[in-house]
Amino acid sequence: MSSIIKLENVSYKYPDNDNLENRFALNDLSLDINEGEFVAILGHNGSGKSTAAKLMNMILTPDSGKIYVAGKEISDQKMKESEVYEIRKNVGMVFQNPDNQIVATVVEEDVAFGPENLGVPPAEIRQRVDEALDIVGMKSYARHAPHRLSGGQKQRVAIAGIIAMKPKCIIFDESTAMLDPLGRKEVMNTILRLNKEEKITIVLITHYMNEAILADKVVVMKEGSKYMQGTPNEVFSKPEKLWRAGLEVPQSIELINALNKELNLEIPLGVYDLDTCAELIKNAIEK
Amino acid sequence: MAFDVSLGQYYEGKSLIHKLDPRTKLIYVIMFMVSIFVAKSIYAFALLSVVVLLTVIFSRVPIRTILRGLKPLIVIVAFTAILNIFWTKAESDPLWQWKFITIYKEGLINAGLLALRIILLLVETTLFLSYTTTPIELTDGIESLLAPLKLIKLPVHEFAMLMTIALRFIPTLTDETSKIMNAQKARGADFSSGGLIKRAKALIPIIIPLFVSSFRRADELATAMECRCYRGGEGRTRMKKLKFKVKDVFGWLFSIALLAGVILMNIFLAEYGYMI
Repeated sequence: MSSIIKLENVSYKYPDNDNLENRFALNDLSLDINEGEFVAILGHNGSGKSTAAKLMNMILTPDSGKIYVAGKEISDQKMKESEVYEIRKNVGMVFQNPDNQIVATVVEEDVAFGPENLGVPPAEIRQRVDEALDIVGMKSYARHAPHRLSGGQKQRVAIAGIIAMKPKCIIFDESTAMLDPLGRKEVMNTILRLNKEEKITIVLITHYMNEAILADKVVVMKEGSKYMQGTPNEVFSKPEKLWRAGLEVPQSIELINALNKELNLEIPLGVYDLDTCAELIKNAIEK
Repeated sequence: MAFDVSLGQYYEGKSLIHKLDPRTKLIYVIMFMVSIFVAKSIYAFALLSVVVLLTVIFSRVPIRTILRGLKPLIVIVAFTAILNIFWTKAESDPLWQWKFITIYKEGLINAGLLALRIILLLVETTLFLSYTTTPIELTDGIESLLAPLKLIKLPVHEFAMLMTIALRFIPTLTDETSKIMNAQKARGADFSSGGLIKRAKALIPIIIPLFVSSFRRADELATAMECRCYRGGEGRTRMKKLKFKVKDVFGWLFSIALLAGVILMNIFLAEYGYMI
């Protein structure tokens, strides 16, 4: 697997924090995201996870360190504008508030916005828009007004708007944070489908543990640096360490951890679905 | 919300007028406006009235819908017309006189024609530009018609983009305003009592949060647009390109014929009809 996004010892400080001592939003962060991978980035508020995302498609440029997208260095300050847009075309980004990323008054016009900016010929835009709306399951809403849709539907339209640019990678910057549970589920299913069926690399920035569980790799950030990294199983089986980063652990792990301590059991920690979890606890208690 | 801003007063339909290119409609409306202000002969007014009636029938927009749209403006029309009755001074004998108020026959005719002018103008512009055209078509049409102004460096594309975004955000900001109002009411704010100044002051706690959030929205939208490779109008293509069809040629010919007809009637039918 080749790496699609690579951060090497990246540091970043927001300009208006100059007077504050040691207020690095990112501090010597190194990160490797492989092609086709689904990576979840977890972290407490202010841990630098959104800043890291903004560096990946050149909304921000790092103060020091190097960033590569598809092998190309993008931390160079003197890049041509056309190259910047080439990077942004390949690394799409979906934000938190669906209302603030929809531009047009009709769903299909909004999805067409990205390809229109790229100068794609009209017939091909039409095709891409239909495909993108189909992938997110919003085809029957093509002629609707966005403000009449639910939060989850709006967010899916925003995702379609990114897919229509045919990116290699999509970053979701807390894209489910403002949605109700149903909308969150809709969007997560769409994200999974994009990763599995469309082979798009996914970077999911979130603070919902049950979303991070679905990833191939979990990166936990704390105070602007990488704090933990591994498969969901590896990361979530160390609840004490996660608590120190100000994060919760999935409920099943919290339960097993508590049982192990209180009853001196030895159930292995890991990410389980509900039935496996119940089975493990039952067996352990019977013993 | 009963009124959908993104559609305006659009009345879904498949009539010839619905299918015309928005640019043709804009040109026609401009020609119609000129015609109506040039018209002097009573025959010209008859012609324009017939045209309006026919286009309304053709568009298949129910007449009741159009009349309902006129209702709020009827007071202004009546007021202007009545003012005209008293203002007109003529050589002929007055019809009626009381103290300093004198009414002439010309005054009545003038007022009637003025009211007719305004009503015809309102019906025809709303019929063409809002009942049969969606705001997005209208914006595209304006952008395309103004395109030559790009040569003198006027930001035509930016202007159209601005209009689209404004249309897009009106419902969002309306929702937000009512949310803020409810939040302030919940904390005991009172918007409905007191004098004018007190009420205006009561709006400050609504306007300030609304502004703050609008700036935040604008900032986020700008970032999102940059992420989708927006860099102004240059090198940008459109999914739906406006295309003139054969019917549009007829539309232009009709527009020109209408204006020419009105001017000719003014010249040649002057002695047969009443002129103002």
